[in-house]
Amino acid sequence: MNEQSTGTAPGGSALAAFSDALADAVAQAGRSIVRVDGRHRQPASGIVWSSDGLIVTADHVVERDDDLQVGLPDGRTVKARLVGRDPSSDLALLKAEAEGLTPIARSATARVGGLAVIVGRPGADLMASLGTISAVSGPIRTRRGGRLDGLIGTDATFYPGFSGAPLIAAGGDAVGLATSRFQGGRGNGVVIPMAAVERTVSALSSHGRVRSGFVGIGSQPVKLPDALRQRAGLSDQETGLLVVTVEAGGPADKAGLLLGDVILAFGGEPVRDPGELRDLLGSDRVGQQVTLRIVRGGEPRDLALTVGERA
Amino acid sequence: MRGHQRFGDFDREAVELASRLAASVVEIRAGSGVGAGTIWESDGLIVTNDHVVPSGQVEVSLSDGRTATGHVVARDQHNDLAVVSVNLAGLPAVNVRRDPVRPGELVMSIGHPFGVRHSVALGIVSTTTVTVDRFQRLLIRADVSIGPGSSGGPLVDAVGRVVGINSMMGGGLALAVPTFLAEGLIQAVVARAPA
Repeated sequence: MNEQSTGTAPGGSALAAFSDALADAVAQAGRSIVRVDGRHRQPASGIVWSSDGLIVTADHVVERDDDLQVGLPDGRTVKARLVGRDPSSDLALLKAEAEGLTPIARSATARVGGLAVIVGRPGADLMASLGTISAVSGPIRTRRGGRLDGLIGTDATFYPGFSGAPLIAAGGDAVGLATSRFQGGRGNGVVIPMAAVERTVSALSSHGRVRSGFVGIGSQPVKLPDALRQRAGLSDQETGLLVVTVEAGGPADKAGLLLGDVILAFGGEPVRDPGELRDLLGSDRVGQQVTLRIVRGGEPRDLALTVGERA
Repeated sequence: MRGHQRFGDFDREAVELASRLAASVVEIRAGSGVGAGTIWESDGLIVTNDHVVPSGQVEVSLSDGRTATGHVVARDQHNDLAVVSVNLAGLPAVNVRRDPVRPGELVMSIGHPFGVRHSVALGIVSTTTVTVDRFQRLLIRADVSIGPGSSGGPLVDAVGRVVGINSMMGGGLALAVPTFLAEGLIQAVVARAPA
């Protein structure tokens, strides 16, 4: 069977030409799309970044640091190690024990209204879904993800195992990486734009991590008394962060935070649990002065804190 | 060629494809259940899903308004296929594709989801091997929306050749039995028919 020509019709049919072009684009991209075995359930997908085995995938599908495997386009399964991960942007970089791989063609151009396919490899075979690029947003702050440079929305179906798969635009280039961790409309996932992927991969490959902010406390969530919530105008916030440790000489210590203080908000954003505070400590916060809204002795007050960098 | 002209060609061809195929897609009523069927042979052999025809005798409605009583003449329960025979000739049979499909190919489904007759949906082939009930069974998954009443209708390629029979849904999207399995069942029926 000629892989490039099945389905063609005589007479220059526009439908057939489109169909062939799409299937060709999927096959072409598929040479650079791998299966990532890094969690118990459904395997996920990954993108070949360099011929010597660098693989980019979604952070949340790499649930363990060891015993990682990558299923290559040629059918082989090889071992991989974790180079680094950035939970805030949900990206992880792996190094597969393989040479001579085909890096994916990449582009930073995603046009709203353009057609695009997500091509994943959740098992041995390629899997594709078609949609449009519905939206290209500017920088956003996600509930769980800290700051993201922007997101691409698409109405293409996110099948199980599509996290880590590329979104391929009509030109055949990957314009982003799909993840189900940040939810878009319709219960769909979203796509991390290629420019953001490039930046994170560059940081991960040189430092194994992405810079993140540091406060220097240990904390746990506590329920806020109703009277306090009323007085502090916190109708939507039921919990705050009880400070249980303060690192000597750290940013929180210098700001005057004490054991037993309860943090209500960080830079104007409510913090209900330690995860929310962590999410607010993206690389852009390092060195910034932020206002910490706290409760001490039952009274709300503000402290000025300069965010440090996590070692 | 200007972009919008190509878009116009694309649109016109899709519309033509849908109307041409509708003639080959029947409605099958078995008791209270309604499904679709695909006219495979012009002398009255129709392929549908086994689950669409639980009883041996069904009511078949053609797109031109004719109705006929159909009899189930073959079943393949493992692949959820059945062949229904009606005593009509000169029916508009589908063209069948024997080459395998590729992920990314454009496909169209036609059926009667939620009772809406000859409903059309366009999408692409997502993958050709899917795991169902923990065993590998050959099914084509496509990102075209189908619903109850789509079962037994065709999934066709960009030039209208049948590549599969829509058989079940996964998340509202089509899972279709590949054409070659239906061909095998039809051949068995034809082989044992009296000359």
